Amino acid sequence: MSVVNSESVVTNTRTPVVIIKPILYGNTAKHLGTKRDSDGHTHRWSVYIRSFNNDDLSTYVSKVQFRLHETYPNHARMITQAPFEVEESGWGEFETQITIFFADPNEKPVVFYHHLKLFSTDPDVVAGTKELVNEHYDELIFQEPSDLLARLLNCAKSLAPPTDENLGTAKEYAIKKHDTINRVKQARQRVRSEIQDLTERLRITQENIKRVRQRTMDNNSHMGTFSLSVHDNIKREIVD
Amino acid sequence: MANADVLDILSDTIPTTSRGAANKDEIIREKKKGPKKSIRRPEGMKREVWSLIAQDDRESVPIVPTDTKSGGNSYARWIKHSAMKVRSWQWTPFTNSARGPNDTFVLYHWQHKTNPDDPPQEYPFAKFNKHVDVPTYTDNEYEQYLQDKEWNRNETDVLFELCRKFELKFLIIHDRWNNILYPDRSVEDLKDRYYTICTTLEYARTKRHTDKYNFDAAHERRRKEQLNKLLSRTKAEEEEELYLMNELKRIENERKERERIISQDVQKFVQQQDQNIPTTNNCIQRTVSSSSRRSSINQDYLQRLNSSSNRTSTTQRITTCDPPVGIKFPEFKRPGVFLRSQRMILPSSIPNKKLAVIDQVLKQCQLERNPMACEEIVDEFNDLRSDIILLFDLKNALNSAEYELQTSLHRLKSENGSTNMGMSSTQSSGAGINSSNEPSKTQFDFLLSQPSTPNENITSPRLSDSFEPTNIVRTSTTERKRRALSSQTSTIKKRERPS
Repeated sequence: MSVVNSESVVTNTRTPVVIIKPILYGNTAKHLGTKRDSDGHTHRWSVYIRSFNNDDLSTYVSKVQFRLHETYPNHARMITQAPFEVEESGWGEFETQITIFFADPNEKPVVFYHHLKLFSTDPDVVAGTKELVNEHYDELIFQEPSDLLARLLNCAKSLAPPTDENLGTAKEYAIKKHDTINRVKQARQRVRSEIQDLTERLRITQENIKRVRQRTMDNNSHMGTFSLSVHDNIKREIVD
Repeated sequence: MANADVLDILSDTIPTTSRGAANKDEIIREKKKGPKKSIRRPEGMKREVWSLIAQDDRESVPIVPTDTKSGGNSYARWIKHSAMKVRSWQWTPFTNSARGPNDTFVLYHWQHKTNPDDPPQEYPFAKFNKHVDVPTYTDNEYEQYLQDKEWNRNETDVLFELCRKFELKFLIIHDRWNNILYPDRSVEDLKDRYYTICTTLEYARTKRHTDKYNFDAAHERRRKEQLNKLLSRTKAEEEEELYLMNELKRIENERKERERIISQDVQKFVQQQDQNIPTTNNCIQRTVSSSSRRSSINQDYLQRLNSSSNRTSTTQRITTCDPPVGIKFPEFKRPGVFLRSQRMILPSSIPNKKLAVIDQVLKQCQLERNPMACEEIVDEFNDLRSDIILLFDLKNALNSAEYELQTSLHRLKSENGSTNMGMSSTQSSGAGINSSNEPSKTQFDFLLSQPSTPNENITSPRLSDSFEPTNIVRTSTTERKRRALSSQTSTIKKRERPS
């Protein structure tokens, strides 16, 4: 909790205000064990969106639309109440379009995509003993929200004291975040050093091109006079 | 316009009733407007179709070709004529003054009945009988100015007579040219002689240059020849020409397109690196200029000298400055709600090649394509991808530069080789050739070897080494050349080793 962005960030003045609400979205899936005869479904899954720090999402979110694959009956599922979640069964993965509508209808809804994942190489998941979880951490950024929405955002209270499970996920994400940052930084360091390296090499190469051209010119003007001092110069340049 | 002309002509022929005509004109206009307004467009007919048929305008186009060539509103004309008094015609004799003063030949034609008191009018078309004023020359003038080795006096006289006789209709003159008595002349020859004489005479008499007679015989000949050729083309030739023209157009277009893309790329690159890494954009510009057109090496060379003098002063900055941004990510400045992860979406302007490179590097660094979306990670991650693109561009620039270095080195080597050969053959013989060649080659070869800069993570392979050499400017032929070149250098090395 402490590592990941907490409740809300309010900048010094009233406007512009930026409020950040961390969320989690994704899907869980579990193998049924058999292939159902009636429709050929093999997995039970649920796709969801929920608050990261356990506040009541429904204070500022009016409804969420999950657009499932077209083969599902009534494939645009509109959820208007608190667990914003769709439970279904199926046999294949697909891209889900998720649209979040906010309490203030003037605010434009946020649209994003989630790849509904069913299959994994994890042996436990394959056996059907463990649930597959494909979850993403993201943050809703409210840039200069309307007064109504700002008020609602600020009064969104926690539903219940955080459970062990909540704390567990929070910790998990904190570790993951730390890890990712480190890795990105390392990668960037590596790329940076190579950029510098290449820049230097490019410079030297160009200097050399210049010198070689110079020599060619000299050669053309007075053939055959081959002074060693020029080569010394080139050598010195490279050592530099 | 047409109607006005008609009116002019008519009023000319009926001068007596001009007042009445004005009144009639008004009446005609009234009448013309009356029925026009009453006719409306039938329902269901398209507006365009109606405007073709409806005669509401003087300039309207009749849908059926009419045999009256004057055009205009036939209905109005009909009314006009019906309103006029009928005038009788008469079969009258006339003489034509254009036929010459002594000619009394009489012809007849139909004419409006005229007042017997009026004086007999001259035949109106006689005035169109114009004569060309063909100049004459005296013996003296001919001797002085008009001598020509191709033409003799007699022939010239005949020409001028014919000119006078046929009123400068040179085709007829050519036809009547007596090519038994005189050498065969083309139309252009005749014209040329005639107009040259005219111009010379004019100048001799007035002492002033005139452009009254303007005839370019050579041009005329070329023109006719060209027309002849055009006319005598076969079908296949015509098709081939058309095909070639199309091809040319296509190639031109492609070239323009290519140049546009290249200049765009360079522009982009220059903008990105403007202050920070001047060397790279110099290099890119160079590759572009050298590939687009190897115009003049000297100019190119001078430019290079200039740019390199600037370069050395700025090189210190390169190492200290932050590399510039390689990707411009969308910014969310406007009020509204959005997801943090949306800031990580790569702009669609990035070509697939670069996307692939980003993916490749991320994979090598064991990173996800869509990491956890919190502020620090997103910022850092975007910067990382910018850097990757920059690295990629740099790598390409370096490749081109190294290639250029190799080619110029190769050229220098071959030149040096030949000069040294020449020198050594004069100085010593046999083994001297190899020994004198050797130092020059080794001295240059070390330029090609990559400078080994201290690298912190030597254990991990260089990211940029795995990049595919993709440069729009480079074509497969240069690639092939490079390969040939490298194999050549390796054989040289092999050969040198034992000695």
